[in-house]
Amino acid sequence: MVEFLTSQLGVSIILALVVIGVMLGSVAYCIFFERKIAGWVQDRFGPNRVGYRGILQSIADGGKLLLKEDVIPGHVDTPLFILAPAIIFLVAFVGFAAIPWGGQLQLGENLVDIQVAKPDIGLLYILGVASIGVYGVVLGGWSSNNKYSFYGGIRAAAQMLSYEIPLGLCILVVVLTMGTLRLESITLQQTEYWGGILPMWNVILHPLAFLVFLITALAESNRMPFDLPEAEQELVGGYHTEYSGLKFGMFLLAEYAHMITASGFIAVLFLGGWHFPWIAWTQPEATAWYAVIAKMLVLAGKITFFIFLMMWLRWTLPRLRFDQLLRLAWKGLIPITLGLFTLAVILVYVGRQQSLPWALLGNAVVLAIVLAAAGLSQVEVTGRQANLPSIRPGPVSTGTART
Amino acid sequence: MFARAKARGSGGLSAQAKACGSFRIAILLVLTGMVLLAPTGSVAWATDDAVTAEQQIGVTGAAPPGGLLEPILFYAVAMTTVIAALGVCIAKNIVRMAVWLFIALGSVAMLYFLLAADFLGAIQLIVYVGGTLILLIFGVMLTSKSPWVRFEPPKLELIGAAVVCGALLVALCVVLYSAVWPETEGVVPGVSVADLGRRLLTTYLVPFEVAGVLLMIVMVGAAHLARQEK
Amino acid sequence: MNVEAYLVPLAPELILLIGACLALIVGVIKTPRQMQWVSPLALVVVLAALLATWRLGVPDGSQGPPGLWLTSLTFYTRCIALGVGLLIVLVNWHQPVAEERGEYMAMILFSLLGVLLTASANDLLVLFFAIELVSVPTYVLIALSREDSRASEAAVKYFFLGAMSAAILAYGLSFLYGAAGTTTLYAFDEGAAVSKLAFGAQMGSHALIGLLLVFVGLAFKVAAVPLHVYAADVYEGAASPVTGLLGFVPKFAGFVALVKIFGACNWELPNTVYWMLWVVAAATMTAGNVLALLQKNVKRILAYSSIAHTGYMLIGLLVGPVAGQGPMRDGVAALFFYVAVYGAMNLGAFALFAAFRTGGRPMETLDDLAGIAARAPLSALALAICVFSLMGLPPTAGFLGKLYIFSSAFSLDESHAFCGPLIVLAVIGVVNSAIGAAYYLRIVAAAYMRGEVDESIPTGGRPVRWGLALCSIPMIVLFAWPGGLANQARNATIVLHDSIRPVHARLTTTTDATEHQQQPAAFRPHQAPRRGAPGKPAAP
Repeated sequence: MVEFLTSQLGVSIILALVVIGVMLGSVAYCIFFERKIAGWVQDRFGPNRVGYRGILQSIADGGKLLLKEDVIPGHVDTPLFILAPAIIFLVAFVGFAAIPWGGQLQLGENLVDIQVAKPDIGLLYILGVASIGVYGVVLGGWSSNNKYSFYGGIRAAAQMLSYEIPLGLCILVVVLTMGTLRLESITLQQTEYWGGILPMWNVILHPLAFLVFLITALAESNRMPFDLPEAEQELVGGYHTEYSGLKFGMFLLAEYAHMITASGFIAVLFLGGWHFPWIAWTQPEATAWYAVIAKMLVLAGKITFFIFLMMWLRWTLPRLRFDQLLRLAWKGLIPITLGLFTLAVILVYVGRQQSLPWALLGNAVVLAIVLAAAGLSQVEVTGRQANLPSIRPGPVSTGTART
Repeated sequence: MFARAKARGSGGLSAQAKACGSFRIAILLVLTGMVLLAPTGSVAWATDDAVTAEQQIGVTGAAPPGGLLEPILFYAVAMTTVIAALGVCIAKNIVRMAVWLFIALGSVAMLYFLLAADFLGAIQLIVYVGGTLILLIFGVMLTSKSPWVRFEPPKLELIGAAVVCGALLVALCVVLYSAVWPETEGVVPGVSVADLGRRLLTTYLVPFEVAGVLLMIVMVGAAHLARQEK
Repeated sequence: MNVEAYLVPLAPELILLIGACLALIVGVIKTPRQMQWVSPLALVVVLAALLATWRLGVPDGSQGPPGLWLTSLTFYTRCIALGVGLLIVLVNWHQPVAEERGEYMAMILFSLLGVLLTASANDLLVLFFAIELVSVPTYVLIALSREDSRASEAAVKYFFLGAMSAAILAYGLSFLYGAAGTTTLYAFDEGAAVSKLAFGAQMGSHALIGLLLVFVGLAFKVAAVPLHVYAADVYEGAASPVTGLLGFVPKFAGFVALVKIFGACNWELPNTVYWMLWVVAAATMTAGNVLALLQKNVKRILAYSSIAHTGYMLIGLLVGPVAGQGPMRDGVAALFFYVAVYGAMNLGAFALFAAFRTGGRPMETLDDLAGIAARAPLSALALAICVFSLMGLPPTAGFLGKLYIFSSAFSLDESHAFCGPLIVLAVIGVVNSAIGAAYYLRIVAAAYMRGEVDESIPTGGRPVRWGLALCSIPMIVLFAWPGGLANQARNATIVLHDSIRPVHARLTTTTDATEHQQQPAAFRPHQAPRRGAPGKPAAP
């Protein structure tokens, strides 16, 4: 038994169970965290009634969702209505399997990976799983048989399709630099140093790609400046308008799980995963149990930072209009990422060890071009959507009020 | 599992209140765990980078490491594929068809994973399963006027299609059983992504490039056809 | 990278590719003045590709990247496709009127590129992609050709059916892959090109079903009978210059692909395949001709005539290559000769419809054609030459094409297992040619014998007239001096036959890319027995 538990398979299984448990818990607390941040931004207290400073709020919310009546309206397409939250929930959690949580651990004679699965195709696995996620939203919106939900679903589909392209191109930039799809070796390669001091994190080499990736990750998880599929003010909740009880809870949990996955993904791809420079415990050579815990804490800290960033953005930025959203993707992010992709190809030729000045120069050039193009373009950022027929002047109200 | 009162009366929100939420979440947890473990099962044996499917399956034809699990999984996934494919044909609603197709393509991806063709499986997920979304959107848009519109093809067409499909099925079954497929010696070694990429850019460079040109044309053409509606 | 071995032999293809991309880029600039440069650009590109083909000469098969095998078949295809391509560009010079000409010309060039790649493909994957590269631009061309709901309908119809046929083709190719265990057509071992698809006449059922499905998929491209239904609607819906292209480009690529696949099987096909081909050929000829008789619209007439011509070409395919013989006895050489001639004469007929308008719309019906001879005698003469050539009357190359096809069937050796049915088929073909004369004569009669119903106004410009002239004059010239084309057609089939296939080794898709073994390449001019007649020597 001990032999099994200290083998790779045993550790993987234990880790899978632990990860699911911890995720469910932290997802619940993400909601609490979010409400607290909302309070902070809006200069109020936020939840503070349940437990010490509201710390039991999430448990109360969870209990409420569990016990609430699970309404299935009569006018929905029932099988798909049930399938939709299941898909989105499942997909949000499956992505964790490939994230390297804490390097390697020396367990007796075995050197095991603190990672549930180590597929050769790590990045593609996550991309593939992520591409399924949108089905939950689209099917939920369609099966609800509700105009607003339907719009939410369609918006989600268009948004996902558009933002997957720059996302994929940013990932390609990293893949080109690293020459591998394995997340653990991407992390490992970032633990090297330039000149013995500066860690070889990808964010230093590709700052613009990091930024674009952050934006697309926000869009892919339907977070605030990009939360058009929900858009409470226009669509009354969008694709999950008709959901209640635990099914609604699943949508909610999936959104936060998605945020955690995206944050972990950003941390691994651009910020060296569990690596923290200049500290011996977080170097790949350290394989003792305390080192692994330190690495996990480092990764958790990075993830927390990005989650905080996303929440902060949510309560700070206004929502984009739909045409602005799509224009940003197709006319903004995709050309930029194509430029960055070309840059990455050149950097591969230069070699990673020598490429730092070239990378910075290239990023500066791309940024200059972007700024120049933005400055020269005459597209109005605000105001009425272009290409719409002009509004005919007339009385504001036709007189007879219909109710 | 999802017991519900099938009351469709008077357009109101007919509801059922069987509060079995905790049971459901338990089931979902188990499901999630299974999916999490599925890659583990196939990958955990290959702890070293060098170890590929070759060693997993064993060149000498020894039992697969998954033991009985592997054939069971294979047949389960294969059955899912077939059932979902049938569902595509039988479903009357276009969105349901797309969902069945989604399931069928997804289980084909699972088959690839089981056959240690990881890259192909991931690509199947990204390209086909993700691409079905477009089909779904088309379905949704085509039926947006009345969401429950149904396809009711004429009986004659159904019979014709059934005859053709049946004939094809019989022919393919005959082929499958009678043909002598070229034997590969030993076990085909698992192909790593790096190896695949190298092949694509050396031996299969021409098809790779031609496919690229073709996709570019398709994109230009699609953009033009879409813009034609002036 | 070995530029000499990889890129230089592909110069015509690369020139087409770069030219097409250039045209696309120019197409982004939407000002009318820039648009004027697109057609000359396309013309220059095709001319440059022709020049490159001429400079490279007949490839000896020892060069080129893996996945391609550049042979005499490549050379012939390059010459014919680019030659007719030149005419296509001329006829399409002022098409379309809208500002989409950049994309339009790019699509034509891409389509030609697909034909070129089909001829040199040595890998099932390349073959499939090349065939699709031929087809996909044609869908776009139809839709772009005119702003008309009929054109859109034709494009969509063609696209859906084409996608279906592509799926069938891919399915068939996957069976061939399963049967052969490799996607490579020919492997190069110890200096000899060894076919990987040579299953023999007793091929397994998987190879057989693969072969049948491939034939079905390609039958759509060449518009053979059960899969011909789209032809009339699509031809009618597209603008005339595009229709001229549709009659040639997919058909040529389809036949080249069929010839390549059957050639890789060493023409040892099971009787099932032979009988199926026989039935398809007979049905195609008859259906095409009979249905053409019933039409009023000239484009529909020519559409059905195109189907009928596919039937004649299938006879050549059935006869198969006869080692080292000219087109008089070699069915495939006759087929190649015929396709080339057909491409030009068919395009010529459509070019006239591109050059005139009647009653404010493009010329289409027999009434529109009436009296054209009085108004534009030279154009009418060119039309008459092309139509007589389509009919197969003596002073034209069309006559020679039909003669070659039929004589290759009649001169089959008696010991050939399929000799009798093929002669019957050739007789059916002759009868059909006679039926066909009726509707072709109606076209000529409308042009010459009837008075003008509605005034025809010349449209298009000088290039279209040049195209018309260049389509019709070679018909007469080729009748007088067919030697060059016939010789090239004969050479093109050399690679198809097992016993006289040129000896050379080269980079293969199965060996590693670094093992580049080369041997002095030369066609082995040894005397080969004809298929089915082991004892009988053949003329060199």
